[in-house]
Amino acid sequence: MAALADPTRRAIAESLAKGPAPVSQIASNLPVSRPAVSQHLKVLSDAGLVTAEPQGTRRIYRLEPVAIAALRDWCDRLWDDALAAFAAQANLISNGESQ
Amino acid sequence: MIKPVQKSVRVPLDPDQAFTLFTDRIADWWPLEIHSLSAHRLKQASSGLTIEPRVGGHILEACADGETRPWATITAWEPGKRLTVSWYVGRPEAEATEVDIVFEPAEGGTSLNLTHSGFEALGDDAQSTRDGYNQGWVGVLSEGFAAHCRKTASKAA
Repeated sequence: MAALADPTRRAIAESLAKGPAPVSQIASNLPVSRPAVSQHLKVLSDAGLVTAEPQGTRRIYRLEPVAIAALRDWCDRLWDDALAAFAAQANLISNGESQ
Repeated sequence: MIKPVQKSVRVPLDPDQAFTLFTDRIADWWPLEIHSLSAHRLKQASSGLTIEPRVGGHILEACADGETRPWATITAWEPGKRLTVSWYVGRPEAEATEVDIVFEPAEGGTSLNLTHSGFEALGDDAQSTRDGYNQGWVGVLSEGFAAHCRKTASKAA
């Protein structure tokens, strides 16, 4: 299931990366209704990316550490790409000097 | 504790040359077309990337919209030996992770050893609450972030 293929759900995940929040706060920053946000949160929560904790009469949603791990994995790939490009350029320079 | 990202690459340049290429000439090799704020947020080519060569200096992207935005602040600048930066591309500086790059002489050139650590800081609720005004990760790296979340989600499903 591609829980984050949907741009609204991506926006919700990014909003929760700032810190845990109730539905009302998430919805206030997005051009979608509160019930729609609740639906999206259910999808994210079913995918294990978001958890909810009751606090008084509302539920506070929180991005799961797996999402931070995903960012870490992304950085892993970033440096693979960057260092490969760095090495390629270094090789070019080195070859240029030896010719 | 989230495991740091660790990478090594060996290049056929001496440590001073490798350091100069990595820093002064970063725009010559950094894959801006796939890894830049312009590419991720604006879907356009970035117009440049520079490093201010001193502790307290910044790595700066000249973005496609005309704005210059910092990716990192330099915390150690030792030409030919080490570059350490506080890395916060697309986020508030308070949510920085650390990237430490060590250049060591090796057979045939230089071995570059990179460690990217401090990811757990991103999950610090106290900090997120304290910095309630912050920009968070809004929009940042959303393609890559989302792709990995998709992968994670599809594994979980």
